[in-house]
Amino acid sequence: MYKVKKMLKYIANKITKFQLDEASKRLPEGSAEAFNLLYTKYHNEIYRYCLKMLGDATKAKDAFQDTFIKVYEKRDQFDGGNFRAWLYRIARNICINSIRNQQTDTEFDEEFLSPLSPNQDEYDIKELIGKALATLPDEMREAIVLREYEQLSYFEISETLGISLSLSKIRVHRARNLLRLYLEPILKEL
Amino acid sequence: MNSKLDILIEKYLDGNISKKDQTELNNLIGNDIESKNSFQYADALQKLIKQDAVGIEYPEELFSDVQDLILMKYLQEAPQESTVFVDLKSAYPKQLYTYVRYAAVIAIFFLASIISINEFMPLYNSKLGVKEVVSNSSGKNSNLSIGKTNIQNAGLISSINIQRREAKASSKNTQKNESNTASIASNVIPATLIGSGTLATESVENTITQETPQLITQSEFVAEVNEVITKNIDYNNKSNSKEAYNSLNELRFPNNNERSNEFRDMNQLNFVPAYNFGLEDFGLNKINFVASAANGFASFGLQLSDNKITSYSQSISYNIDKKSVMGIELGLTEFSAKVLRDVVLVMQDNSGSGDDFTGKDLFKTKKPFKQKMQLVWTTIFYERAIFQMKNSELSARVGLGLTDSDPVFMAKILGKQRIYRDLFLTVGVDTRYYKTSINGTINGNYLSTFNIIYGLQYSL
Repeated sequence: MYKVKKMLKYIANKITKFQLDEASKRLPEGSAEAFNLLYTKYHNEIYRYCLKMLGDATKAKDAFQDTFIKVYEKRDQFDGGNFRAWLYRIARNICINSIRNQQTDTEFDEEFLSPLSPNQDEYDIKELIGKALATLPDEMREAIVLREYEQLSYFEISETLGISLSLSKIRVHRARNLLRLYLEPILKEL
Repeated sequence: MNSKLDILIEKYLDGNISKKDQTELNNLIGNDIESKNSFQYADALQKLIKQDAVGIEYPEELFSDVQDLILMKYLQEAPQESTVFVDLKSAYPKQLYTYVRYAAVIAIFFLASIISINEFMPLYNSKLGVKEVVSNSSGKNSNLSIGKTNIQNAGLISSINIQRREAKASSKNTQKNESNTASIASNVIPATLIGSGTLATESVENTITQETPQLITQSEFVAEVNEVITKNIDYNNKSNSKEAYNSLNELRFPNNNERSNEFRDMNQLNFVPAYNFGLEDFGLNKINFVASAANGFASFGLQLSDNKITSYSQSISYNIDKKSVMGIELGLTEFSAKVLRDVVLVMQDNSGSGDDFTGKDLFKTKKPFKQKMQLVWTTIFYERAIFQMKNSELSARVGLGLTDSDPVFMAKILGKQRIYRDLFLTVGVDTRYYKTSINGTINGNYLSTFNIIYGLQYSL
């Protein structure tokens, strides 16, 4: 399986911008080949985005699957422009819906509200970051995930979230500050 | 934390800090421990996030699971195939399958071309037709026979063959059959009458010469000829009307015996009614081949006794996009029109009787002819889908082109329905406007037709 993952990553990296543009144009025409190419290219980062937005692997898988099913269903509505931004918009909507359902189904965990204490340094770093992200408001979380995890430019973030360029910068900045504040006890130890 | 420090740290984290800002940031964090901590925490946080991003494990099987799920959806969308169909795509290499499809289209066009050639046969076949009619008429009408039209380089010539025999000649010289030759010519081209005494029969005497053993009078002769003309030039008889004109009233092909003989045998292939058959390519991919047939239901600009118009066309086109097509269409429109022509009878005496009527106009009248005329035209057209579903389409086509040197305009509405894979049934209507100058028609300036189109289409 590791070899398969490695091969997929290799193939995804080999896909050129020209191929992506062509696939974006052919997707609305119903080309399964175009879909497959775009799926191979973006599957990894969409899963990562879903995981960081939802903080749970199972929910992330569901959101990931729903995202690409939605892409398939809505492919004829894609205007042939920036496919990546369109894809993230779909993933974002699905994640937000999932978060809303989660908030109504479960009780709020007050642990997320308070900063970590120094004696929590034995926690796994990944888990800590996951918890820190979960404390962020949704709009800040999605901004910092797109920026730090997916390496989107501020312009792409603004396009994906449907906000202005300056607002996307502000959200990323505030998210960084909140994360820093939350993780400060751990960061001091590093 | 001051705002200046925040801005510089953000620039640093985003990777777009200038050297000047870098120096300023270094100064700030070097002089203030709190600023230094802020910078270090921010930097450490970003590094942690990057480590986290790299370390995220993509779940096993998720890629293929979702991929299979979507693929199934694509497959469910594809048209259902018959269970007896052999999928050449999977049975043979893709290239071979392409060749097979091209071969199929070429075969269809070969068949269509035979049908098309049959439409042109009357043009080549006129010389042969003369012989046939003369032969038949000589037995049937005995002494007076109206030959079928004869096409020569100069144009149309109507010929009348009059055979006459003296019933009882008083001398050896007068026992010879006399032949009077008369010519009937249209107002366009003078004609020649051909006489042949050797073909005279006994029945000749029962018609003209029995009662008038000597040469009949001029007025009687004219009356007889007029009667024969009326009897024999049946403008509803197709065999008498195979003259073919193009839009300039010129012969499309010269009178060529070799060609006539060459195509005489081919004409035996004329067993398929061309106007009842058509194939049209739907053209969903790159290049489309189209062949279609049409029957007219209305026309303006012609005096048509039975109002019959058929046409046949072929085209090749290229898909501009998903809904638009451009191409060239070549067609043949055939219609029958009743025309009135001045017929002039000129008497010539080559029987040796001594009477000299040579060059005299004895008779002039208007006679209706049913002419079968054909227009060859070509247009450049644009077609766009108005309404599309998975297996059907409604489209509109407009074209502009030439028939000989005159302009022609065409507009079509086509309905297409998939009947099997790439095979479509096509039904529609079209209208064409020809700027023509056809002699003898009501309006020599234009002709418009309205047609029902039908056929099958194949998408390559």
